[in-house]
Amino acid sequence: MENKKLVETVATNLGRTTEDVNKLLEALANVLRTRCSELDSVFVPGFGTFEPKKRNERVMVHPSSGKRMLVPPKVVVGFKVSRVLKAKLK
Amino acid sequence: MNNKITFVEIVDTIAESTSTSKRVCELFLRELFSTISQALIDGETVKVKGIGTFKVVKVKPRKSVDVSTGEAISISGHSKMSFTPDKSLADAVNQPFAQFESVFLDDAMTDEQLADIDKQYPSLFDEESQQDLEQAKDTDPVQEPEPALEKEPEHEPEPDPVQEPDKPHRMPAMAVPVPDPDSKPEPEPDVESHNVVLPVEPSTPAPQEPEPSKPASRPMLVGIPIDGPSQPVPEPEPEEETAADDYFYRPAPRNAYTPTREQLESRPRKHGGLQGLGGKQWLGVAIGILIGCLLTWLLMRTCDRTEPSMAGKAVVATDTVPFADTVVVDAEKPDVITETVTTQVVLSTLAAKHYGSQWFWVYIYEENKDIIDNPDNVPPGTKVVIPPAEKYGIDAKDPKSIKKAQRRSWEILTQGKR
Repeated sequence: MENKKLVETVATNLGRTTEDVNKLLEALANVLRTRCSELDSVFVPGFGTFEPKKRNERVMVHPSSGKRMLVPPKVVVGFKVSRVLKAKLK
Repeated sequence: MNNKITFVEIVDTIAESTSTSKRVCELFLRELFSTISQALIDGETVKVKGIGTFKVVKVKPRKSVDVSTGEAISISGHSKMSFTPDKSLADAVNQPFAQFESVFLDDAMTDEQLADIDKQYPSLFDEESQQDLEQAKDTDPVQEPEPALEKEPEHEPEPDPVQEPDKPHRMPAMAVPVPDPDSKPEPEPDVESHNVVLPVEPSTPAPQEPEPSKPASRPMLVGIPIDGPSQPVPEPEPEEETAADDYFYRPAPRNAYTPTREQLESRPRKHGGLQGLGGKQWLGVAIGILIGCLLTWLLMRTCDRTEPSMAGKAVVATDTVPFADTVVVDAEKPDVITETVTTQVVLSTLAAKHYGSQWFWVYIYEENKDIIDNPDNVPPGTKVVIPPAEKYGIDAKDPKSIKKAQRRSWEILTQGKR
């Protein structure tokens, strides 16, 4: 499901315009962005947790050239599915 | 940091930022996530703009061994969910590490080569110790208040210590401390308390009274007796950082200088810009600016005094200020943005801040080619000019523009290696 269809579905279910939903969705993305940048995890009940994780730097071997590379440290956003959803997906 | 943000907090934040009711936000969030969940249960992949892609991945059944009994068991196949963050989210979260890139490790690196590199790039420590030496040589009182101020959590007073030493010279010339009406309408976005306190000014009795409780060790407060309006908020604790304290710093040099319009205008602009930065960056930028100012100041001392504007962008020189070198703080002409490189702030972070993508650092480099030798190692304290985005056709939303910058950066970097 692409973003557009998702927005439309949510908009019809809520009885609101797609612009409204888009605006709210953008605000949600903003919350995630700022919160995760501060290394806070964002918990959505019944869905899961967005949690930023620190990854250490590591040495990696380039698969094709065989050269060793030093991969820099980084922070990535991980997502942990809530138990409810996980059970439903199984 | 490391807090868990609950659903209620998300709802509150969204409601506040979009100015919709909390109920609507809550309904929206519930509906959104249940729609996503439903789609996932149906086996669909859901792409959400600004957040990322949720996908259901099938896990094949596999054989394993029961750890306690040692019997062979098989784990049945199931589906699990995978999440790939959107580029904007991933970039925003990884921002502190954005300037790093993977580097090839050379196995055959000899000690001599490493030594050469060390020589080529003087370490940070050297840079700083040199500066310390320069400062030590200087008998100017500028340096004294600095260390204390830097430690303080609030950085507002930062520009003023540099200006202070000027004050004693100016004081005799100050016959009447006119709180110039010109300055009142000036927006001072950084000092909220300032605006609050200002209206009190006219009603203040006995403006010329000296402040007995003020410790003499704080030279910046010398300006206060002249600056009558600040009387109503006595501040005996030198260590305490309050908004009122902040108020002391600001108007004192303003009245003492009787600065030109140009100065007054450039000041709020500068602070407004800095305020947009995050707390951590603030500290870095503040220290960076201080170092930059000192360097410029030292440079200018060696220059001809009669040409105060020689340092160009760095100076807002005026006739009313005989020692132009003390005014370098407000180093900004309206249309030229200058930034100072520090240990935390490098070309790519500046590019990310001003243009929205770190890749555009190449254009900052090109604009400052004559002062930057190696774009990978710009000495902290270097002042760089940020070119206007139109000059190089910079557009973070246009993939073509980014591609072009990437190609250019590759050219520059490989050039340097050869």
